[in-house]
Amino acid sequence: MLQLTNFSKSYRGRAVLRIDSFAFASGTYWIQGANGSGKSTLLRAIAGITPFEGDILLAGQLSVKKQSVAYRRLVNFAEAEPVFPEFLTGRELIDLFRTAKNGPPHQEDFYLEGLHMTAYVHEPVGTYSSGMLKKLSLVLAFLGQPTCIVLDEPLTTLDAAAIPVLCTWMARQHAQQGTSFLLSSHQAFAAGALPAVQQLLIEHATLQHAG
Amino acid sequence: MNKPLTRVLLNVVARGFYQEHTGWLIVLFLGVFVNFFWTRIPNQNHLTEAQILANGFRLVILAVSEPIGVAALLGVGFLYSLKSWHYVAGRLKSPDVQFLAYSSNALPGREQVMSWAVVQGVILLPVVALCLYAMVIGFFFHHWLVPVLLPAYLLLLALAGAYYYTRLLSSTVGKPDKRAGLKWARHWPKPLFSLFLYEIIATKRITYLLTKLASAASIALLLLAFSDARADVRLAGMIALCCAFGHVILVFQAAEFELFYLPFVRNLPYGRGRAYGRQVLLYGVLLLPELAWLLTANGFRAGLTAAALLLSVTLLLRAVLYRTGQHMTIYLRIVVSLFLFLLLANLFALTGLLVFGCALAAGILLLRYH
Repeated sequence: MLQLTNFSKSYRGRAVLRIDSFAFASGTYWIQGANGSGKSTLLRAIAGITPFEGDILLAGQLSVKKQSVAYRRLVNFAEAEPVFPEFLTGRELIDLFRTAKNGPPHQEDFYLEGLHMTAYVHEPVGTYSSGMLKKLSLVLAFLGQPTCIVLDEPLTTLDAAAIPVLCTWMARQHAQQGTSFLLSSHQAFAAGALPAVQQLLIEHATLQHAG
Repeated sequence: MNKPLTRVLLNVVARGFYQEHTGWLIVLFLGVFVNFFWTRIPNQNHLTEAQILANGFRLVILAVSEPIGVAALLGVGFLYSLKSWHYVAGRLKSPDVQFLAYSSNALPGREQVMSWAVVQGVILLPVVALCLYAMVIGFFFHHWLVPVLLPAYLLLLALAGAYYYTRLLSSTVGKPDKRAGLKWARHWPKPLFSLFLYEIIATKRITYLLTKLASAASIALLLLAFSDARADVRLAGMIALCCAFGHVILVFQAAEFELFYLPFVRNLPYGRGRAYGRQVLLYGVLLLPELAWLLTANGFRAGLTAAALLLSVTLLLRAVLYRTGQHMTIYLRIVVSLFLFLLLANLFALTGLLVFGCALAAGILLLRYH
């Protein structure tokens, strides 16, 4: 599904991540690593929003650098700590993302109802709590017809009731559209939360299979 | 100065103010106030030394002797204070200074006001310099009243700011913030290119106002200085350059806004041409008053060339930030060099070439960034 080749990322000349070759088959991946290990850097690179050396190919043909528009239509992303212009409403952001990602009309309704967001989605995001912002960013990541959804620290700031809902969405999306998920966390994966999750570890500035 | 609160406030507020506004202050002082210090008037060989001195200092003498001049000087001080109040009020909402809301306001009110007054005094230093200069020249030319009153005015400005900041930090458990972010524009369309324009309306009104005032002042000064060259395309080009460089702070803030609030746009499936188009639209709207003036007041050909130059140079100023990142000092060095280079090229009548050159350079920098 996703192939990293000669991937490396440096900050001010210091290499923080180096992955010679790594292939993600279709599925759900839990990428674990300590604070500052490079999880967010890797996910932001895969989402196409941070520069890096090397290349990332989606489905063996779409390069994040060469076919960037087509690539970004199929790879969605939610930040660990999302920030949006405070004067925009949740609805305006949803319309922007759904149009850009070519999602069908009213696609968001299912997700908004699932996380009980309909009451405040018309309010400016400046009035949202961090948990409400997080929920909005997760909804945005499901819009369109993504091949891969990248979620950085998806469980942080979510309330207990929202976590099973998110897991249901992921299972449904994977079953219906074959969408793959890359999730990151500094915590160990709680077995049973998601079926068939493959665990990966970022350690010593590289990505490897856990265990 | 030695009080712990004063030291902390100087570090987190006054230093931040100067870091953020260095460019703006340089542009203002080099572009506008340099005439205040000494007005250059050519061909004065037939005048006596006293007359030359009086001519050179005529603006500063005006500022301490004539009502309109005094109003202008006091107005500059007030506008500057307004800008600083706006900045500090915004700064106090930043996450990294939230500790002030549960530490500094435990001190007696008088101590808080005194500390803030020192900080506001440091922030007002450029205005203090202007006023000191006006006082010295005023005394020298035997104008007593205004120079004697100026220190009281500065003290009033510093204390007013100090009182305002103390109130801001003490009222954190008062009425909740009812600003719901541009309520009146909630149903207006907000295409991507326009988001920074809404941000200006929401949080950067004073910066915008001061930028437009600086723009108007540079147009007026250049027209006054070169009144016999109104038909020359180089004059229109020079005005366009001054207006473009007068917008440096807004351009810097636009880039900052994009970096902080709009990183998600890079994950949207839009191409590079569209990104360039968005910038043309954003700066086209932002510069609309200057573009309209250039197009209507300078004849068709000169107006069109100057308007295109204004837009392309502003696009280039934005694109330079893709290379430098948000580093004000590095950016300013490049901006000043670029200004001198473009000014020189314009004087050699290369205005038309500069339009294409700047637009092309901006496009290349944007393409390389993406």
